[in-house]
Amino acid sequence: MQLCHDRGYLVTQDELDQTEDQFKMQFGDKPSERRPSRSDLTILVAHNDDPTDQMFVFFPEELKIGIKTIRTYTTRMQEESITRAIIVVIQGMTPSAKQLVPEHVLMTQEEKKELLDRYKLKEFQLPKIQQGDPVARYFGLKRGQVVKIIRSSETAGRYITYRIVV
Amino acid sequence: MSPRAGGFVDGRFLSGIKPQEYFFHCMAGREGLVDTAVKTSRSGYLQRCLIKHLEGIMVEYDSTVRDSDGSIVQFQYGDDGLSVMKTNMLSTKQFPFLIANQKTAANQNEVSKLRQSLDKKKARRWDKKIANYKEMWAEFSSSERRSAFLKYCEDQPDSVKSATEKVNGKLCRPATSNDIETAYRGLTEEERVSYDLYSQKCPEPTLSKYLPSKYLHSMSEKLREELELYKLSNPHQLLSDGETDVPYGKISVEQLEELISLYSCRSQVEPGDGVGILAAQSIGEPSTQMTLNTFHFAGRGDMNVTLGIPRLREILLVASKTPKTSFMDIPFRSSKHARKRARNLQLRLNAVKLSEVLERADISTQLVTVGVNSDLGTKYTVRLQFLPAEQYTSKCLLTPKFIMSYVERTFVPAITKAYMKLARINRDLKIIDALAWRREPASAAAAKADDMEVAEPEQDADDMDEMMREVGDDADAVADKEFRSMNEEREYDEEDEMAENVTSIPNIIKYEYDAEEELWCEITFKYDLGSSAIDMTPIVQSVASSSLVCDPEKFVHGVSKAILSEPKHSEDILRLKTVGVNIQRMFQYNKILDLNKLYSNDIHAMADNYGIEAAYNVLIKEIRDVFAAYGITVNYRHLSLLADYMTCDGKYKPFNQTGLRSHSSALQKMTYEASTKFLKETMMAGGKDDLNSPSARIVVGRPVKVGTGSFECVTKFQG
Repeated sequence: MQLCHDRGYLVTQDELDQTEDQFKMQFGDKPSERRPSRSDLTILVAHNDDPTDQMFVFFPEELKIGIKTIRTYTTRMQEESITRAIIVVIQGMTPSAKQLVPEHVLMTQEEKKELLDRYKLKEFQLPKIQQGDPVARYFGLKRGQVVKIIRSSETAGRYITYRIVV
Repeated sequence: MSPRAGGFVDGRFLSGIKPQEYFFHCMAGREGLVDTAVKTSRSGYLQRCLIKHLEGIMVEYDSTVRDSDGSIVQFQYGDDGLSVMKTNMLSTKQFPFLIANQKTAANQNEVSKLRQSLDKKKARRWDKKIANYKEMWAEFSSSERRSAFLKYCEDQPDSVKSATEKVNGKLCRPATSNDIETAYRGLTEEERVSYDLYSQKCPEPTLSKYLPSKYLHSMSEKLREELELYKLSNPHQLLSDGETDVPYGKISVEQLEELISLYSCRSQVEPGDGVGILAAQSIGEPSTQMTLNTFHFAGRGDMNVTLGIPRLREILLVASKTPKTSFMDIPFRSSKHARKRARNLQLRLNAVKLSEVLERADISTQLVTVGVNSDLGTKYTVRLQFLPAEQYTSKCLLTPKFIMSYVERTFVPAITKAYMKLARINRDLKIIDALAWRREPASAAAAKADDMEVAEPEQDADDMDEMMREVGDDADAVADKEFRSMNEEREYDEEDEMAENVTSIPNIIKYEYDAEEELWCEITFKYDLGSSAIDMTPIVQSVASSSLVCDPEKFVHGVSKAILSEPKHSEDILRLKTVGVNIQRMFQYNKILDLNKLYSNDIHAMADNYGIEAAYNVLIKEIRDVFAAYGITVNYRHLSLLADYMTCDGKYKPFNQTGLRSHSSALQKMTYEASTKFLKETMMAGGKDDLNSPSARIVVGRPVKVGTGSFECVTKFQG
C-alpha cells in the first residue's frame, strides 16, 4: 500500500496505516485454510494525475510463478484495459524506508526536458541508475525516465542530483 | 615478562642503550625503512589509477562537474559548489574574523560591481519560500506520507470511514475507499486547490534553482541556516540592532547578510578547476602516510577489520564482491520481544565445535587374534563423555539430544572417513614399497625403514602409472561406498533408528549410548588386521575440533560469527554485529531487527539490496573511515566526487581497467594500462577519440583543456 502511495496512486490513510493485526482482523489469519486465499487480495488502485492510469496488485498462490499465471493476469488486465501491475511474490521484500537511501522522485517528461535543456545535456550524459536497482524496481521505473534524487548532504544541507534509468 | 623482553626500548641515547636495546632499535628502524620502500609503490599505483580515471573531470561554466566527454559527475561541486580551499572561513566560528576584516572580505568596489551585474532578489525570495514551507510542515516528520487525497480521506466523516464492509466484488479493497475515490474525483477546482496543498513538496534548494554565479545571495541551505541562527543568537555580540550608526567593530544584520553572501559567492569553485585531479591527489597523498601497519586489529570486540592500503585497494581498485572482512551492523528494535530474542539470534550465529561440548574421549584399542576369520582385526572403542547441559546452555543453544544426533549423523561417519583416508595413505605407501621390493630388494629395504613420505625416486614411469590407476580405482570405490552409506543414513529420522543405523556404517560393530541423560555414547570400530596399526586418538581429536555442532554457515549463509554490542549510554541501542554479510536473510528477522538502520561495509551487497544511492553513502563512509583510523581527515568534497564518479554508471565502478572500459576517450584508456588491449577494442568497435581528454591532447601535442586551457579567444573576423 505504501508502495502504491509512493508511486502516486490513491490510497486512503486507513489503508496506509493498516497494521499486521488489523489486516488479520479484516481478512482472517489462516492462509492455510484459504482465509484469506492470496488470490482474494487482488487490489486495483488509480493514479492521482490520471484516473485511467490504474494498477493491479496481484498476489499469486504459487511460490514460483509460471507463465500460466502471468497469462491469466495479462488477459484480465486487457479486459479492463489496465497498463500496469505489481505481482507480490511470497518471498522476502526489501524495506522501503532505508536510512541510507535518499528520496527519489520520478520526473515528468516536461521536467526531464527542462533539465536537459537547462544544462544542455544529451540523455547519455546524465548519471545513471540501473533498471534493476532496488529503488528503481520499487517505483517501477522504465528505461529513459529520470529520477530526481534529494540527498541530504553534510556540506549543503539538501543536494539534488538526477539519474536516468538505463 | 618485562616490556624489555618483548623488545621495548626504555633506554635513551643520552645515557646510552643496552646492547639488546640497540639490536631491537636497529630491527625497528630497518623495518620502517623496508616498509616505506615497499609501500610507496603501492600507494603510488593507487594514485596513478585514480588520476587516470579522474584526470578529465573539471568544473564547467554552468557549475556542473563533468568528465571530458561532457557527461555529468556532479551538478554542484561537493554538493554546494564551494572551493575546498576557500570554505574554511564560511563557518560561524570564523564569522568574527570576517566581520573584523569586512573591508577586505567585502571590497565595496567589488560589491557594487556585483550588485549591478547579478540578480539580487530572486534567491532571497526563494529562500523565504523554503523557510515558509519548513515552518508550515514542521510538525510533520519526513517519513510520514501525505498527499491531497490522504487529507481528503481524513476530512471525511468517521461514519463513512468506519463502515468497512467486506470485499467489493472481485477486488479486495473496502468499498468505502472506492466511494471516497469517486467523491474525490468529483471535487470542484477550488475545493481541489485547498487539498492540493497537502501534496506540495518542499521547494528545491536555492542553490540548484539559482546559480550563485548569476544570483547574489544564493547560498547552500546549510550556510543559510547557520547564518540565520547567527543572526538570531548573536553569539559574539558583534551585531548591532540599528541600521545606521553602527559602532566601530560591529556590524548591522543587513551588512552581515551582504558580507556572507558576497564571501560565499567569491568562494565558489572556479570554472575550469581540475577537481578530478584534486580529488585523486587528495586521496593519493595521505595514503602514502599510511605506512607501517597495513593491518590493524581494531578493538571492535572480537572483530577484525581490514584497514589501511589493503582496504583502500579493496574499495577503490578492486571493488571486490567479497571483501576480506565484511560485516553487518544492525540495531535491534526497542521492543521487549526483540530484546528477548536478541541473545538467541546471536548464539545461533556463532559456531560451536564438538570439542567444546566434550568433557573427555576415551579410546581403547584391542587386537582380536582368536576366533573365526571374520572376527579378526583391530577393535577401537571410542567413548565420548559430554559436558552436562548446564555448562554450555549459556553459551549456545544446544541440547544433549541434538548433540547426540549430531554425533550419530555426522561425527561418526567423519571419523570413519578420516580413518579410511589415513589407512589408504598407509596402504599406498605399502604398494610403493612392494613394487620397489620386487625390482631392487636392497634399496627397497632401506626405503622401507624411511618414513616413506617420499615415493621411490627411481621408480619406473610405467610402474608408477599402473600403481596410480590402481590406487585411483580403489579410492573411487571407497568414496562411492561411503557416499551411499551416508545417503542411506539420512533417510532415517527417528532417534532409535538412528542408533541402529550407526551400526550399519561399515566397520562399526557396536554402538551404545546413554538413553536417559544423553551424556555419553560409545562407538566400537573394527578394522581388518591387514591395514597397519593406526592410532585412533589423533583422528578423534582432529575431527572433534574441526566439526561444528552448531554451524552458522548453514543457518545464515555467509555469516560466521556474531556479537552483541551492549549499549554504553542509555540512549544507545543494542546492536548485532556479524562477521560476513547476508542482507536478504536478515529480512526474516524484520520483527526484532531494525533493518532500516542496517549498515554493512560490503558495498556490492548494499548496492544490490538498497540501490546505488545507498552504495554511494556507504562508499563515502568507508573511505573516510580508512583515513580516520590514521587520524587523517579528507575533505568531504573529494570523497563525494570520488563516490559520485564510482556510481555514475548506476553500478559500483572500480578504478581499474574494467572501470575504465566504459570511458569514451580511447587514448586515455591506452595510456593507462594494456595499451594493445584497449587499442584493439577501439579498432574492433570502430571507436574514435574526440581529443578532449587530457591524455589524448598530450598524445597529439595540444594544450590540455583543464584550467586556463578551458577557454579560447575568438578574434573577430574582419573581411
